[in-house]
Amino acid sequence: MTIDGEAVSSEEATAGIGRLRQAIHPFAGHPMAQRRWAQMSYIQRSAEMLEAEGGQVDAYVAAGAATEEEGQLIKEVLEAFEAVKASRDDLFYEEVLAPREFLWTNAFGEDEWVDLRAKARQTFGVLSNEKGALIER
Amino acid sequence: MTTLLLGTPDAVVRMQIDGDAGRPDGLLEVPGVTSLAVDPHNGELAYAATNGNGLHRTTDCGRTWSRGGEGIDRPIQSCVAVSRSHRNGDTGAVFVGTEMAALYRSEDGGATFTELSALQDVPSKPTWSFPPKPNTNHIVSLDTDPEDPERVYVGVELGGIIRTEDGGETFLDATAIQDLDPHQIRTHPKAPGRVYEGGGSSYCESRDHGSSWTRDIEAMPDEIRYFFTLALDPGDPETMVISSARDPFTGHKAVPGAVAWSTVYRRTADRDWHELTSANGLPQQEETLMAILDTDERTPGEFWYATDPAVVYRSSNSGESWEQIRLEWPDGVEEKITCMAISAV
Repeated sequence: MTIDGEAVSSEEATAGIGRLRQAIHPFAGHPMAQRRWAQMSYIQRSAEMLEAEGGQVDAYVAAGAATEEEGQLIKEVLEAFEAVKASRDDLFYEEVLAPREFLWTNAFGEDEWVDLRAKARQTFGVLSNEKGALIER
Repeated sequence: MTTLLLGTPDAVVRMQIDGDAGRPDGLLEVPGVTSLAVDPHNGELAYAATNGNGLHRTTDCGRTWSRGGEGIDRPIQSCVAVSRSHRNGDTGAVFVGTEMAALYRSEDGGATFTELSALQDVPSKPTWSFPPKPNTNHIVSLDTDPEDPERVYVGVELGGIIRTEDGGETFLDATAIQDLDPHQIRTHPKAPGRVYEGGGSSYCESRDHGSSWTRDIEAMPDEIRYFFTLALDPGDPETMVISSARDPFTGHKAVPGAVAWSTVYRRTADRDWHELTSANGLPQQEETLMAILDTDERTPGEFWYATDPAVVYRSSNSGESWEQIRLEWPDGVEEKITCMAISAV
């Protein structure tokens, strides 16, 4: 498998799946956590990462960095992510996220987000092999 | 004489406090200590929960330990607490919470446990999710009603405070307003019905056993919206201290490159939330990880503060001023305090 005519090495594919795992992580979180992550631009950066890496899932699977099943799960996350963008993409870019009162809004509660969260949670669980992201107390 | 039980990544240290000095005189070597609890009515009884290494109990306040926890069938124990009101002779009922969130109760001093499985029937369960590992959840805090042995408050991270009013036969789901990230739940023997919560975005109180909640942080700066541990003056339910930060990332130094920053706020009956600083004897905010705050119920007016690397402070005037305790740290034990319990025996 190649990307833009370039062969994907096993190392590159493994790193790519790692980036996708990290990008999926915030979409799997509880809405309360997602509100904080939006404030620190983690949601926004993860959205950019999903968009950048999402088209290369097949190449990463072909290079052996993920199983067919894992690749399919990632694609389902990507589909749910596209549905969220189609319904309301301002949460990725909205500058009004800064005020602290945003921590208690109902953002991230719409049906599309619920669906994305469920798929991302399942996929992150499969990809994470019990490892967390960010805090390890 | 006060004894501190200090959890570390690889041990529980029994630290005997004499004046402003602490000397270790007991050690349980066990990896992954997550939570410690002293029986509120019997300071010789204490319990240590671990990540993957079972439940340990002591009947001499940490000089010697034995294994307990039979019946806890989930390996990661995240929280342990002892009831004030649910007593069997001199022993309080022991509650252990786990990752994935489940609750177990022992009525024989921690030897054997029974799961209170009705917790799994709470409607909000599918939404429970711990941010760093969103495919998981766990019980982060527990407290019991000081008068009613049937009432238990269970903090799920993130999910909110789930409570039972019938000894675990049924559970009531989290309510609106309360913080869904209840890092610390407290009750007070002198304040029936009152429940205090310090969490991931707010401080909240209930005056009706957790049925309704009021958010109460107006007196704090807008930038302070992350809370970790909360301690109440054993002699006065209006006086409390809460470890605080701007966010979890600096509070716990949880992301690469973050510089730790934390502080402590205090509230009394006649003064709203006010910050405690180095002028009060506490460490400077910069480069200080969020504190573990605790008390012993037998010592009104006394608060304890622990942070890393293995630093302990005490206040003997209800949190107004603090002094550092000079700790003699045991050889070979990492200088990191993951949890703490206090016993005035």
